[in-house]
Amino acid sequence: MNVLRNKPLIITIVVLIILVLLVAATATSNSLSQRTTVVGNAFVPLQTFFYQLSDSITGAFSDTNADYETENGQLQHELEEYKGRLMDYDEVVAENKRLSALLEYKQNNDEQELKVARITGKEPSNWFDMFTIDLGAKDGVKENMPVITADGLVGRIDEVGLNWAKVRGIIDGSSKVSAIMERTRDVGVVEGQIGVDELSATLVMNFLPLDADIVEGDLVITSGLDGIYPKGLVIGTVISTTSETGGMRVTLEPAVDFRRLEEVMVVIEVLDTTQVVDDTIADESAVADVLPDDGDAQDGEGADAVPEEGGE
Amino acid sequence: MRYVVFVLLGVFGVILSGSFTTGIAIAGIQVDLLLLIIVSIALLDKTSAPIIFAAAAGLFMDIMYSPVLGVYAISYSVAAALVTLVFRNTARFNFLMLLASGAGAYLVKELVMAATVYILGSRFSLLGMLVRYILPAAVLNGVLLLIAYLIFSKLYQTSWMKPKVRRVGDDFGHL
Repeated sequence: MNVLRNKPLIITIVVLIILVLLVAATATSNSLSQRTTVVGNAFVPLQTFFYQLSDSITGAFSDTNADYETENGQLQHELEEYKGRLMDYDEVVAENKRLSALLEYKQNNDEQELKVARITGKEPSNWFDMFTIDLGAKDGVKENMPVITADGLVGRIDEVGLNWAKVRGIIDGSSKVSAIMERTRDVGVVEGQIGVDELSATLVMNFLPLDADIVEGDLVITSGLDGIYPKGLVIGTVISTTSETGGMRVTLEPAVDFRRLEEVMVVIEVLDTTQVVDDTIADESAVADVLPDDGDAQDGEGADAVPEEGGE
Repeated sequence: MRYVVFVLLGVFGVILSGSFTTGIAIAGIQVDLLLLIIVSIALLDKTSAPIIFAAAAGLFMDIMYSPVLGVYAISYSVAAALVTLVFRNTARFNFLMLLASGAGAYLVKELVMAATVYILGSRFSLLGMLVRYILPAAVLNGVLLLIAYLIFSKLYQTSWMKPKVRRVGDDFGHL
């Protein structure tokens, strides 16, 4: 009877039962968590503000500590002022460099429709590797869309709100990516790990054949077999191999530096290049059928298409 | 007013946890701001409110960052409930008690999270996680609870923050 009069204990039990049911419901289906994204929509601007604030504060601490010991009085004050300006400048230059790399990648990969997103928050525990970005359903972002940087694969969209989305990194403990060794073409599955060292996050590639000829430095790319990630995205490079029962286990260093991620690109759409090639071939065949079988006519057409150098 | 403060603490605790405290983490060892708030309230409030506050704030944390709803909510609720039940009769706390309650609550929260993540299918070395992340962070959060407790004890001196009905007789009973 006394237990029944213990209000906090009863409340704890009731709360836990509700929460356990909630975990069970959302672990098996994403529909419930999708409905709660409306709560997140409202807090994204506030979160973005604090994330950028923390970035600038941590940047200021790491850059100024060494100079406090060597400078004095007025000079120190002036120096700090200049340093402040320089830091802003450095920040702009660094951002410019990052965005230039993303732009270059975008220009070199016409077959991918990409959208640049900023990271607005990171999952605080060591149990998941997830972060939020400032693109959402209104920007055309959908679940399972791949997220990349110019260096390689970052992860995939896990949940989408109106103006934000959660990204599950490939280093997350529950992440699995179908992959292929670029040199040997051996297929395996790249998995994330929980509890890896923050300073050197690693991935593991499993289910490789025991006789696979894999050496340190081999590049691992996505195979496209999982239907989520398009083929050819760089995942990482091999740093060690071990043979285990059932196959070879390969440890990889991710191509992306997850500690320094600030901007990412969401692959909104991958144009089917094979379809484009097929269409081109079909068009050429159609044109060839229509045109008379005369090489001169085609040559003449081609000559017309090339502008004459120095001509008016 | 008291509930307005709870809501504000929950919102800012969650948002700062995903932005500010992740930015100042050293090699994965970081301050659990929301836990410090929850434990401080649990030590001072002496009602069931901290348990509900922990569940609500944890759920908000799940919505914002976690892949599965309820992972944070369960962990924080269990930690809050344990602190509330263990220290329900304690009016004053010394340095060691605060250190132990902060570190203990963090340890419990992390172990509950580990169990939930394991049930959800992820595999990991618990010993490795304990040595590498959980224990150092538990000590850090235990020390920081001293500061958090001092701040919140000032807050609880105001009339609008005190619960209307403090723990008396039937409210708590005995285990």
